[in-house]
Amino acid sequence: MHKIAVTAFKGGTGKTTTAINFAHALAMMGRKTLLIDCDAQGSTSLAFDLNGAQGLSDLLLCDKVDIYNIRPDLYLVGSGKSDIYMVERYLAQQPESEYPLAMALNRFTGIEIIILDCSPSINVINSNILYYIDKVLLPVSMDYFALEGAALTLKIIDEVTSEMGRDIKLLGILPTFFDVRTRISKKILSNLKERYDEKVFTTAIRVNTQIKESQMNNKTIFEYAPYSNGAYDYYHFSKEALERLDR
Amino acid sequence: MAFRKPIEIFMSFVADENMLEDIRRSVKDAIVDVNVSNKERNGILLAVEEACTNVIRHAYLYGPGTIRIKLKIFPDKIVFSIYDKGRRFDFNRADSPNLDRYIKTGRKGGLGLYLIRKIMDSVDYFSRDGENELRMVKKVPPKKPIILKPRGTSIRLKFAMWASLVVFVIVGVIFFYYNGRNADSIKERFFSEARNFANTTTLNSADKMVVGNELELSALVSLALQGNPNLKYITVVDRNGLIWADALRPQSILSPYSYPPTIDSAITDTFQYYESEEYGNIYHLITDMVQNNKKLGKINFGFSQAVLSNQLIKARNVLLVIAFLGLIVGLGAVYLLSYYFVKPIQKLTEGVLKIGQGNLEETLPVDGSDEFSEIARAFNEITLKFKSAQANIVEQERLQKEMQVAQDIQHALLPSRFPEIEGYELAAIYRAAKDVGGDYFDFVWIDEHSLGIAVADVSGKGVPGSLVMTMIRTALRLEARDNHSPNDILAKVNDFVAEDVKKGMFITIFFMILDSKNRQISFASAGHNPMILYRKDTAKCYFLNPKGMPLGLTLPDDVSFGGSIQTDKLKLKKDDMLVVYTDGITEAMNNRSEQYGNDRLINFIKENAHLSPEEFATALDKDIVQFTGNAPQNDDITLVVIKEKIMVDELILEKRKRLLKMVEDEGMSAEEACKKVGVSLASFYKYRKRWKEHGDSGLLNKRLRAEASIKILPYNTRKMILEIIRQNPEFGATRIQKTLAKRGENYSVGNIYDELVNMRLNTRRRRLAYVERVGKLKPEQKEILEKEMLREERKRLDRMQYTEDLKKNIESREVKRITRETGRIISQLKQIGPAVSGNDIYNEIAKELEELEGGKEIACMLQSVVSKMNEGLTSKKDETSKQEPGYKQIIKPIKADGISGKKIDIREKAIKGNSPKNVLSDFKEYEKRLTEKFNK
Ligand SMILES: Nc1ncnc2c1ncn2[C@@H]1O[C@H](COP(=O)(O)OP(=O)(O)OP(=O)(O)O)[C@@H](O)[C@H]1O
Ligand SMILES: [Mg+2]
Repeated sequence: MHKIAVTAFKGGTGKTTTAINFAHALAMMGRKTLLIDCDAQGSTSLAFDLNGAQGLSDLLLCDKVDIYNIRPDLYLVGSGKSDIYMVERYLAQQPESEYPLAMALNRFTGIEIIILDCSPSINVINSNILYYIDKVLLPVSMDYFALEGAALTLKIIDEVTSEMGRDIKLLGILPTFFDVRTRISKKILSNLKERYDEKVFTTAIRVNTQIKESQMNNKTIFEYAPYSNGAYDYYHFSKEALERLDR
Repeated sequence: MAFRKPIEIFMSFVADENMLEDIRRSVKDAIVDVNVSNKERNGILLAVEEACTNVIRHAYLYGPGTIRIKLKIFPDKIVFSIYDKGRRFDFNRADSPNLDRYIKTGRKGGLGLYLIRKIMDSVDYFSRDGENELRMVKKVPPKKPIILKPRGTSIRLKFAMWASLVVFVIVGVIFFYYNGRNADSIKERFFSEARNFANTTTLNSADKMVVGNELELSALVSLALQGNPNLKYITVVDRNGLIWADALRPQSILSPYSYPPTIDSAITDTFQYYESEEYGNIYHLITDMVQNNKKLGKINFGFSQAVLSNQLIKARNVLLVIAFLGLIVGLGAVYLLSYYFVKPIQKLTEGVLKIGQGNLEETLPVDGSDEFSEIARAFNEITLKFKSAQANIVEQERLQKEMQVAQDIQHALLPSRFPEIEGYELAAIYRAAKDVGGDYFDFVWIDEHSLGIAVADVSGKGVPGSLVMTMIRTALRLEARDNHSPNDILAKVNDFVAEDVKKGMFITIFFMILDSKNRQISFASAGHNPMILYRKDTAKCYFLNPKGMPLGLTLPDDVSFGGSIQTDKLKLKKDDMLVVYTDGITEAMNNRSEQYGNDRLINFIKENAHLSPEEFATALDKDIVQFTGNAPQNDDITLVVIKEKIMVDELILEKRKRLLKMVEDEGMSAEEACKKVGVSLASFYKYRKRWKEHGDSGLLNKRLRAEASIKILPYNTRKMILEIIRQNPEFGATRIQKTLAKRGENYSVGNIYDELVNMRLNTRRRRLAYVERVGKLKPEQKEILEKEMLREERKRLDRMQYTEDLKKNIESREVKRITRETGRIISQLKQIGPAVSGNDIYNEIAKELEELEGGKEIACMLQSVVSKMNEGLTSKKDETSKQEPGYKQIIKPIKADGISGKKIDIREKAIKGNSPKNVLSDFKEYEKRLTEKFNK
């Protein structure tokens, strides 16, 4: 079982988008995939029009959860009905506040790949997640400060995990919001590759308005615009990632 | 005097830095009468304060305590004893300021001791019975009594003398005048009385004479004599000169009368004065006795002058008494007057004298509004000003002393020996300004091949500045060892010093590492001036200025120092030169307030790049001196010059040859040799193969060249770009490139764009703003700029508004959270309650909950209650009304007890439910079409 967190401590880099489309692609490729929304804002749940379902927060607080089989081979756990502040507080009150999430999620079996969509902040839930996952997928948007953001995220993960004594691998860095027309995008991408070379996926996700639209229509890009650039990019990225996972 | 008992004063204070002010004041009060100059007094206070600071900072580092101070004031010395019960302090080791130790403790305690020793005449430290005593002795000159002695005759005396004289003269004149007049009137009265008496007596006598009754005549005469005390004698003489009657000698009748010797018998009715032995001083008067125009004879009267003189004396004495009284009154008046008018002057003088002797605490009394108090007031003001001026001087002296200490420290820090590193030639120059300027440079060995060079400028001066330098020096030494990344070193140095650097103080550093093995230079700058690179082959100068913020700044939370700083790398070709300097050079000023400036520096470098670093540094220094002339140097000047001496090709060849030699000739094992030289074993075999085939030339790389490509443009080109922008701010990179090309400067658009980004002039708004800053902007350009600014501002406001909203949102959310949550559940409960079964239990729960306040447990409980009820409710409802959301299928886990409950097998659950509609049922087909489409 691969447990992958899509994370970046920088908002709006396409974490949620990547989590959704990656998960769907994997499912379509025949892998049993579970998508867990760990973001208090519940954007993943919203993207699948899953409002008010019992999700992660309820699992932690009241030990109840609804698992939705939203597509063939694709399962979803929403962010939950309970207020996320309460979860934070609840976790913080636990003697070993990093464990509960791992303990709860360890109960899920029969899944090949679990994908967690994280919030961009540094909070108790995210450090809980680091106790559970074994791989990190880091979407980096091609704009200013992208490098810093990536470095910061990796540094934090590194620090936390070495403190915990866990072994978390970097599945890869996914360049997102790649704008073919701008020099900056290219420059940043080349800088990124220079610094992290093969860790960076060869596929970069281009800017594509259909991605936005797909989310508004509660569909993945493969459903909304199967022959768009976005679908193409996420498809190729998913293949690449799957290759890495299977390696 | 020396045997007088000393005055002892005890004080005790809580050991807290806030008490220092109190301590200082108390000690100051205690020694206020001691005969020392104000300067020395301040010194003493400083020493005591330093000593107490030491106690507070060191002795009581780990806990509270008290400081006791004992003062013994002898006539010729003061003994200060400062007691504490804190940690012992190794007094002997702290003998001289030991810089490294200050840095380690980060405090200037030891320096305090240094100061104390300078100020006090002897300092001792005892430690017994858990109590420490720092005893300081200050010798003072014995106190001289202050004698107020106006020089010369006092004004009051003068005034009194002159006034008395005048009184004397006046009284004298009055006296003599009245005396004379008195005497005259007394005499007149005397004579007229005598004459009247004589006339009456003469008339009476004549009657007796006519009838010849000499008996009656005698009786008359003797009666006259008895009746008039002034009369001494009376003798009646007839025409023939015979005596008819004589009151004193009755027997002499009819004997001839002999006149007293000096008397002229012919003169009648006139007093004739003579001195007789018998009668004393006499006025002799002769009268004629006449009856019916017939002369009968003469009468001789002798009036005693003594009576007259007695009267005269009496009258004079009375006058004298009066005059004397008058004189006394006059002198009294003079005294009073002099007191009244002269006293203020005297007081003024006394005060002024005291002040003159250095007692500045004295103030002159100001009473009334006459000229004297005006003077006093003015003088008080002068004293006050003087006092503050003096305090200033004291402060300044203290500062100067501090500066001296700082300078000593600074000079001790600068490297004295110049390291030698293979293939590079180094030279450095440091010239201190009059005040300590805060420059610092240093060499640190990173490892045996790499040398770190730091050039820094500390913003603060004086002791704090040099202490920061010492900290940085230590930090550099600690962190630079085996660390080949300049930015990392600087970040660590920053961590090291950040907390101890005072607010508002910061340090700029340029740090570079010369790697003699790889012939590479890496460098980072913490806000320091750029380094200048001179390329020999193109004769161009470049400003190398990697990004980075100064050390020691308090940064906003989202900015990290380490993230701000970056390392750049560089390879030099033979005879290339690097110049690292501080702004003391470019900001050196001459008498016309012109700065030496970048242009002059660049030109100088271009002209003198052929010199060796040593010669170059001296020549540059000379040039600066020549430029500034006799204007004072106001900042330190630091300069480090580095020159590449080796052709990299040669070096590599040399190295590889040595490697082969070691293995082939000296029989060293290949592995060991590789390690020593620093190449991999694989390359060694590669070299050996090439060497065997082609000989020495095979060892050389084909494309061996110093990697010299620098992304930035030369200084002059940059200047040109700025000039172009100033003329045409709307030009972007492309047009600038074209304009440059016309002038023979060929660079790619990309190069120029990068440069623009570097200069932060890459957008039109920035360029316009720059031109506006520099000077002239055409009106239409101004308009564009304003529009752009407005847009920017609006964006900023939007952003602000957004964050503001967000904040509010979160706040209100936090406040409303529990109420809302509870409210919602309660209302649900109320709704559902009656519908479920018959009993009212839910209503009861709802009621109870309404009284409770929110909290995690409650909310959780509520939720489970509600969901339970929901379950109950739905189960009661018709099965057909259950809604499946689209293609979503819900898998509910088996309710588990606690988080460690049963495993949830998702796959199994899913299989049990209905498989939802597949969106892209044939994925293989999709893959194919997708690839097809994009291949087109
Ligand atoms: N390749 C793309 N092209 C165009 N729009 C995109 C692309 N990827 C994502 N977006 C849009 O950008 C926005 C932010 O993306 P997303 O929500 O995935 O980021 P995130 O990292 O999850 O954000 P957060 O940090 O808030 O969770 C969304 O509106 C999304 O639709
Ligand atoms: Mg998200």
